[in-house]
Amino acid sequence: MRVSMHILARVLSGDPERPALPRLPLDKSIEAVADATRSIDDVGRARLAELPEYVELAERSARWCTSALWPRRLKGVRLLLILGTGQATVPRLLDDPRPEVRSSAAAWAANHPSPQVAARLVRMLSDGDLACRLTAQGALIRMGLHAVPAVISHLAEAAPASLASALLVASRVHNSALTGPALAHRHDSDPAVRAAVAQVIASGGGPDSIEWLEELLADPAALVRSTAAAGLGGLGHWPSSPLLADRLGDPAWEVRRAAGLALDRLGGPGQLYLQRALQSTDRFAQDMARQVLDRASPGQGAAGRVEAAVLAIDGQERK
Amino acid sequence: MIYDAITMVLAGFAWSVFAYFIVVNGCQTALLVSATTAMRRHRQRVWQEDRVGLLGSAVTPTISALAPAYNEEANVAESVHALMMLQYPALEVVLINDGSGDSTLEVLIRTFDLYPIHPIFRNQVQSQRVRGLYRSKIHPQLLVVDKENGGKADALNAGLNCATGELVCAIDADTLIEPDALLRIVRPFLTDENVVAAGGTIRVANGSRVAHGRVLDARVPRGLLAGCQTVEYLRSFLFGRLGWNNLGGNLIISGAFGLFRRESVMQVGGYVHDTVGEDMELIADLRRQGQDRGTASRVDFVPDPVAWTEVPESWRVLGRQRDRWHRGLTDVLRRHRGVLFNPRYRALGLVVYPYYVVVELLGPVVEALGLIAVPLGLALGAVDVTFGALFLAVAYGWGVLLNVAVIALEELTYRRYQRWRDLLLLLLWSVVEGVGYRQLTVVWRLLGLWRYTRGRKDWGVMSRKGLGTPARA
Repeated sequence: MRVSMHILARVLSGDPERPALPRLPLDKSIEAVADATRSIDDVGRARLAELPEYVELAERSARWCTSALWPRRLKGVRLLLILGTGQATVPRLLDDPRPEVRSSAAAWAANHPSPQVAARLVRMLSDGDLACRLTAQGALIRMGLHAVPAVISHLAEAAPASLASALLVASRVHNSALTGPALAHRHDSDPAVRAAVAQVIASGGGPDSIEWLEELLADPAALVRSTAAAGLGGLGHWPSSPLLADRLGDPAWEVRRAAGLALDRLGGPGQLYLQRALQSTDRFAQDMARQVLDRASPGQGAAGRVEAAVLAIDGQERK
Repeated sequence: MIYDAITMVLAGFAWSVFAYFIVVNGCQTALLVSATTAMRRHRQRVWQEDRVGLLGSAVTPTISALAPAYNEEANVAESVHALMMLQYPALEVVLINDGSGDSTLEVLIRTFDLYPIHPIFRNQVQSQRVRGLYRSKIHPQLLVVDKENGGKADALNAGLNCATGELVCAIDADTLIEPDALLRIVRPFLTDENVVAAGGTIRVANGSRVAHGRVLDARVPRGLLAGCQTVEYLRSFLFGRLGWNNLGGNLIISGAFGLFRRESVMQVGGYVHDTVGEDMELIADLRRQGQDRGTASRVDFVPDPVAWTEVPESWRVLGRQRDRWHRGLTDVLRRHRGVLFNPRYRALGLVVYPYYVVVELLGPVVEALGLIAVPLGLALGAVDVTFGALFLAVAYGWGVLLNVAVIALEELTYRRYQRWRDLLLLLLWSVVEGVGYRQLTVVWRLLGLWRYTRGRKDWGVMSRKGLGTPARA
């Protein structure tokens, strides 16, 4: 095994005079090749692909992918993921009946983007299995720009399934082309969807985003209001300070916290509103402003003030 | 006449104890079979899994590792260094200084360049007063909570209030977690929405080579006490807990290493203060209240994430530990007695809870009575020698067989002990464990039961030798 690893290292370094790999049991052979391929670039992979052992493993994995036994199909797809090949075999496994296999195929897809694969991954966002949904989300985010058309077309559907997950992907891809299709869902009945819309708007940026986020600050759901407040803070739009200052007195703690932190991020104007809130007749707004302003930066001492602030927030939930 | 009556009672009792041992060992054999199936399936699912890919994932839930520390000035810096080295993409380490009387906080401030902060958090679960919060300039993901002393459960509650992760991992500050353990233990939360808690394997670190918070070379301890506990831990985790995954779920997750959904823990009110079995109480609460509300309530055991702990090597300290464990078990089972045979709780009420009552709680009582009745019966001629031999085979031989089967399972799967010498030592301890050691644990557990009825809730002093190299502080 150690000898094999040494030879594989010589292959990867481009050594022309390398001895043949010793015969190893299948599991050891897989282990050696897998260890060698985990963190190499395309050049290294191309060098490895010249090895007969690599080719043999790739062929064997492709055969496993067509097996009737799901553990074998799982092995096949996992091995192809490691070997970085399998374009002809793995996309079919995105529709495998076993969630373990579908999920691994989705992980493979992140490194092999194509419009068809991206479209299938978007559909997987509504898979019944949690692992498949999460892997599809992660894969689409890793695909980045390649995933944008598929996400846009999914959001444009009349009643898209797994809307919140698709919007979450859209918010992590950070592409302004996604803002328009996301906005179409800002009146959705599900607060999680509206919150995700707020996230997409905040991640996409642009002048129109501010208006939409300010509108969402008045949403009936606390989750949406807090996401919108955090979004405004993140975009650094100081003219929104008065609206955020109003949210310091919000009935929900999460919204008050998000508004306070957003004002803090806005710098001078936000700090001014926080100072003003210290004189507010609203005890909740006053408390949150005090907590945000008391927060020490590195080097400042604030430990002594913890007690008062912690006691102040005990039992202050209005809901 | 009286002699006849006594011999009849003794014979009847001896047969009852014999039947009890058959039931107990039968249950454990069923657990072993279940564990073997679960292990096979688990290994199929995790074979060559892309954990490195998980490290770069944008959708993994944030984990807050909660590590309470009390008078740990000698080891705390090294423990935190080890926690910071854990492989996980979104990790926050929350160390709770539970009112230490030594210089634990000063060591932390000096080593990690801590500065006081004032984050905004809610006191959602009850804990003692927080005196200060500190963040590290070197590792921004390290948060230190300095609070007044209130015990482990109280410290964990303070950590829960300050933590921001979706999942929280309860870790003993003196436990050594393997670098990829979080990537492994998070698996159930990524595959099943119904999971509220997951536990990993605890292994015995005594005798192993440890440096900088890592077990570099796993060895089987040579000392009798630590050796017997090594077999006990293997049996308890490798089939005891893994087996329950298929048979109704676990009721215990070790307080030294467990992962929980933070929101669910908050919903049940966090850790309970007035019990010495706070880890088991939390699991019972999570399962019971989850089922009451119809929300997530599954508790899974994952065999491959490993945490190493130092077990007591003194009879006195071990006795205190087992006494406390049994008091904790008794208390939790009493608190949740409404679950027993309640069909509303399905497997929990009809299988898991009754098992814990009959085997775990009452086991020492029956075992002690059997240990008295059978020799007495043999001496008085109430039971014959054939019965005595059968009793020995069931009470001792079956146990040894189970131990050997667990060692075989370990060898076929994880093979942490690489040397033949260690394997032979492990086999030796598995044979020795049933003679003397097991009977002593019966005495300690009986003592625990007795003390519970007397209302004792103390932890007792748990002195240890310490593992590995000294702190770099």
